[in-house]
Amino acid sequence: MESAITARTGLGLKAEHYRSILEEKPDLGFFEIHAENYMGAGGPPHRYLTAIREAYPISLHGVGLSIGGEGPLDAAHLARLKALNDRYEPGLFSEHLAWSTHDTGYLGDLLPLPYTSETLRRVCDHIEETQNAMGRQMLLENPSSYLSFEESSFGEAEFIRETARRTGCGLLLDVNNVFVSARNLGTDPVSYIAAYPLELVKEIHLAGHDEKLDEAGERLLIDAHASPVDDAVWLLYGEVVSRTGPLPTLIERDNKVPPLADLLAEARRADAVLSRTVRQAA
Amino acid sequence: MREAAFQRAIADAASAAPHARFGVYRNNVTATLINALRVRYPVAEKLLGPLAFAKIAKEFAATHPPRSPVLIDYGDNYPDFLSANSSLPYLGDLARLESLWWRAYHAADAPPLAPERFNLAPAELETARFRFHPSAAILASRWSIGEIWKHGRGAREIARPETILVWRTHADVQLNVIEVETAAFLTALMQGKPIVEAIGPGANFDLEAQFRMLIAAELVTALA
Repeated sequence: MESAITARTGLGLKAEHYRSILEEKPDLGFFEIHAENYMGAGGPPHRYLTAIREAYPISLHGVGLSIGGEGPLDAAHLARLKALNDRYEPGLFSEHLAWSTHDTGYLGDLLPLPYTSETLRRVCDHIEETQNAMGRQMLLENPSSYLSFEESSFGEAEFIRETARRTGCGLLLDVNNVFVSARNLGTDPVSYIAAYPLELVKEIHLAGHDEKLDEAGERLLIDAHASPVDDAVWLLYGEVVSRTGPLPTLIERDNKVPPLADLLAEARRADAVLSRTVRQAA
Repeated sequence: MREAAFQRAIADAASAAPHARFGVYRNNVTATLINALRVRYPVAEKLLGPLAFAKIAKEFAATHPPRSPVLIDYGDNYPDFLSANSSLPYLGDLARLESLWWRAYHAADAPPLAPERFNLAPAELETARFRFHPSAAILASRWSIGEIWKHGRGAREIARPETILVWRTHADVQLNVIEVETAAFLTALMQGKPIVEAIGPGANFDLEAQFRMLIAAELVTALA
């Protein structure tokens, strides 16, 4: 199977769906894997992924490299990513604008950083190191935010634009994260999109969010990946691809994972948006 | 919110939240780790119930942060913690069994030794050593952990010693209750002892039957 990912819809690969995927071979553009789930030595995860890779392109999505971390990148982790990249020849490779490691070890979440000239230098150094080690371009994903830092001297879209300019990285635009962050920080998602370097986007993520109350009793959106994509996020997605043209689009569902058919229905909805975009452009 | 305060609060799970929204991050960290333990120890969760399991898992997560972003490896020492924090006497060994199942699931692949290589002359038996599949492990317990693993709270005769062989064939992870004699033989072989030495002094040892089992189970990957 070719490794290149075309401007179609893909799904996050979940162990629950391995067999259905191989039996049904659903019509999808690609599957995306969380790199860390395939860092075991062998066994069924690699056996299934190998079989699925024979039928689909793969996108490699890391969640543990800690691009935004203060300390140096974990060389052993980078080597593990490189090994996966060499073995499965993914069409796209992405990581997050976040940090997740500390002196004490791994923290198990994508944590936020302030946007300053100091963090910009740190993020750019880490992306360059990653791209050099991997021998390929990395896509940087925008985070979901629940708070902002007083130190920040850049807007997030501006910070991402400057990072991409300095490092040559591509971008993964998570449209749900844009929506969640804007709601939580009281900003406007459409303005964010307007300031964001859409011309550098190579992949889009769509996911569902949950709504909760924070400790002050304020409404808060959580990037939970546990439900279907929200209608407001579909609208924003349509807005984005009307400007960018069709792009590889991932439906993410990592919690309360439903049967494959439910996710395929969401994928069809994204496909419909993409083909409408193609017709509009024609 | 200041970055330094955020970092301090993330590093110290017992500290006060520096922001009304800070709890989201702290909850995410805890939820990720509890979930990793739930995935690895599903039978222990069933035996304890989800709430009791989550309570112990949360304490473990707070005191045993992962060293690596590869969460497949998280919770190697959780069975000891479970055992110390629960009144179910067999829970520690049951979790040790689940831990071995998980390691076997992710262990490296290795093709089995061809059956004809088991045709060894008596002299060869004196020196030949078997190398086992990387997934293979043996666990002996005072409790019938194989039965408990299979039947959960419906398990009978809990206070019966059992020895379990855990390994992975091409198809999937296998758990087999094995006899004491077989356990002694396999344990000695896994420790790298030559075949004759592993047989031990028993007079009625059926080596052919043991070899048939090793071949059928695809347990041996090399002769050394």
